[in-house]
Amino acid sequence: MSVDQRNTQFCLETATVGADVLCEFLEVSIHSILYLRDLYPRGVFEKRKKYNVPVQMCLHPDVCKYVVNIVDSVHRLNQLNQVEKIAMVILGPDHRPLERFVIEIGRHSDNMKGDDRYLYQLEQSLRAFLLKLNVSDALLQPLPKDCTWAIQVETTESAADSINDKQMVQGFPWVEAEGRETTLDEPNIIPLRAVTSDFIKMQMFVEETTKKS
Amino acid sequence: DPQLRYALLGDRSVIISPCNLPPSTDSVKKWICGRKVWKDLKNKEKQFKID
Repeated sequence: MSVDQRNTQFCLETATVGADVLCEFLEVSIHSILYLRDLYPRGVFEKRKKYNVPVQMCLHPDVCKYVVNIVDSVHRLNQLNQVEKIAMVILGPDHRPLERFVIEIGRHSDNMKGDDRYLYQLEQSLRAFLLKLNVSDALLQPLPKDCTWAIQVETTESAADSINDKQMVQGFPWVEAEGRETTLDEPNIIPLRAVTSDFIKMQMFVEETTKKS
Repeated sequence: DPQLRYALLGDRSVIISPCNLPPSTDSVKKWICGRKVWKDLKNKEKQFKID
């Protein structure tokens, strides 16, 4: 195998690992936010371990299926390298966004060092991400009752069209989000964590409206 | 043709969201009540078998 072929294979593997890791992390993050922000009763969650950090995962089959469908769609978009931001939005009783947990994804760089062969540093970074997320509720104002949630993905129109064709068959279509659901009134930004590695480049922050009550 | 549209108008950035809504809190609450009843019945059945 030539050096060029080996480099190409390494880049492909890196992109695949990056997409898989992001999706795994996204699934855990959604469940954690659902628990932390009390969007579902706490009795419906079960404690598990991920990256050596205790996390809460929802047991309700419909919630699990819904999250899996989201992760599956994001995985398809990520394979096209067309995901810019993934946001979990908490909507108030009047369907106005109150909080947005945003994961901003950077593009893979071509000059990778390749010194994290066993993904140890990546695991440490994701561990820190989850620990930060677990304490983020202390930085936020309490939510009113009867809140709901939604996932919003920022991507390109062509990528959105390409996944919609496949997702329509699976009964999980995506539509362009309404402007009033994507913008917060007078938001405060709380940065949580950023990671840059060979496999993944992302940062996470929370936007919170000052007009919650 | 979408490809022609992207070529002419550009591939703009969009924010997409699932068409289906997530399960409601009420349906999850009902499920957890049913699960509790089922668990209690299972425990009673176990106790009955031991006795």
